[in-house]
Amino acid sequence: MNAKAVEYPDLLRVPVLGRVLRWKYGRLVFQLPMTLIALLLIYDGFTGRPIASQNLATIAPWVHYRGLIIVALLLAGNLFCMGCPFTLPRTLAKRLSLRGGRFPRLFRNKWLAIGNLFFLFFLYEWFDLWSSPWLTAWVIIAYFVGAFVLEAVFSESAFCKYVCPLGTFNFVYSTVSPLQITARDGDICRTCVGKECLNGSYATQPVILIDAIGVDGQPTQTHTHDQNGVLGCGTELFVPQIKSNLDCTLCLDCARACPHQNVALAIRPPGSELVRENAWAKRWDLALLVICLAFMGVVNAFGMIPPVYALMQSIATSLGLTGLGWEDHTIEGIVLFLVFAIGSLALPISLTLGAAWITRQITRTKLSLREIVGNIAPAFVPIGFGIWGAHYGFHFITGFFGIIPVVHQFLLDHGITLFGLTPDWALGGSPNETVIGLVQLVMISGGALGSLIVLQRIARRLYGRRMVEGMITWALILLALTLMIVWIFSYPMEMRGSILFD
Amino acid sequence: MNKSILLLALLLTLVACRQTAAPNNPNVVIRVTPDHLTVGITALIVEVSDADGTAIPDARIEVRGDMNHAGMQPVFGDAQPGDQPGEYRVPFEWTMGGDWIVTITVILPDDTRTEQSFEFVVES
Repeated sequence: MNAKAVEYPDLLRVPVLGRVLRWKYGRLVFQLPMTLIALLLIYDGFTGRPIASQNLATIAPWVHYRGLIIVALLLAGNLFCMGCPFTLPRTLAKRLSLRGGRFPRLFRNKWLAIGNLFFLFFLYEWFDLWSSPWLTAWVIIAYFVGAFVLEAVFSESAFCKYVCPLGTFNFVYSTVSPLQITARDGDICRTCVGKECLNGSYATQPVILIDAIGVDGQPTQTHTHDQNGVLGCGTELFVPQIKSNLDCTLCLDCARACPHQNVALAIRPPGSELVRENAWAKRWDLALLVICLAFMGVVNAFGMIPPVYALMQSIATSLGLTGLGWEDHTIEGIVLFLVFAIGSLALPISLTLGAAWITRQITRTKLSLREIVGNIAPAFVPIGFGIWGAHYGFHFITGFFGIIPVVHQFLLDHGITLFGLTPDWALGGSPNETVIGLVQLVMISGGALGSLIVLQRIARRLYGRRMVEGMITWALILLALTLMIVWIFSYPMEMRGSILFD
Repeated sequence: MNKSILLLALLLTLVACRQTAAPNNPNVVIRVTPDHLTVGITALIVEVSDADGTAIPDARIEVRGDMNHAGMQPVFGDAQPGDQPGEYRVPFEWTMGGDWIVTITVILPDDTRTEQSFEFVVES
């Protein structure tokens, strides 16, 4: 799906929709409402009711945003990065920017993103962000500040590409999505002078670029860069080379900047890039991000069931933490950190290295460990997506209508009685175990099956007749992940933030 | 281990559940029967007295329970007079395990309203 004439339907060519998407302010159409919502959440977080289930700042991000992300990624693509409110001041930041250098080379990879995801999930659990409108409002502010500062200081969109944990999550799981940016005709890109998809078409002074010269030596085709132009790809993707949704924020700046109308937002078979050779760079950071993120999903869900408290008590007791006279919250932080560090980093990394080593031994191939892990990593996307989808789906289904009385109450608290004087709190809905169980079953079994199919196709490509030997160790890890998450979801979920150590 | 956490939580809850009243606000004390906090139907016993400790028998009591995680349906309870003056019995269902915040609204005969919140940990 790259460097050839586009084979799949192109959404940018759909009447009305395509025009809106390609419009200079097309992204703004999505970003403005999201920004207003973000500002509303900050406002309610600081001034609204302190109970999480009655405050927009907690219900919208922790219930609806996370659920809608899964739906959007599954049905379309990285729509939430497209509408990201945190990058709305991007143009302003760029104009105020120091025109500085690149993001430090040391961090131009996914290690920082892995660390940020880890800390977000850990802090989420330790400080019970889901129960605090006030803290959630601060998190939103931190995102705005972080995005603006990094946009202003560095030449590329370092926040999106290397830092943002939400964006990283979306990047990884948008690889299952049915939409992807691609070039309509690779030949046009080969002869393109300005590479505007990458470099942008914005210039402080008008600049005329010559696309073609006639036989008389005079330009026959030109285009102009000026202040009406748009920035190029913030995450530095060059459209004809895009083979994956990784790092694509779906901002469509490439499509707006391209003077040849040669960028397509194509519909593709969902997840097709996962089995395509060379769609992903074979890098440790990228591969471990994908694998660790699947394990983070398990650990995150594990934090919601009763056995986690027994485990934490046992760790605290064995380490002698309970006899030190420390506050329970401090002990909880230390123990949670250990649980998260082991479960979502140490365990997946050691299993990955071990599995790669075993695979190399039994297949007797010359692939390096990095090449093996880099090739196999996409197989962890479907199961990871299934795990997160099952977890976020639980909250989403449970609290889907719950936002209605919260909005109603917010209006009443501000003197707006348009919808009556009594919010219908019954809309909050109690968990429908049958529906939730069914959704979780579909997500987990679909994810596990998808992972096995991807693994089988990758192993066949890498090992040919030794396919079974090449995939067996990884299949066992995937099976263990699946059984683990099934075991977790077989417990009743507890919305518990406090733990009191003996 | 879970039982010991539960017991400790309950003890702390009972201690913590007596809230100091402002000069014009009633004292509100909340007890739970049975005292085993698990998912299911229970009864909250709400005791209301004035600043001098005199029972207030004719108050209206509204009870609302919220989980501390957003997105869960709140539970409401209707208070009925209890066995003693100033005591109110509220049938109440813990619908899910986890941290709960129970908000008691006391409406005095002169329509003065006061609200106090209490935290509970409920096992699944």
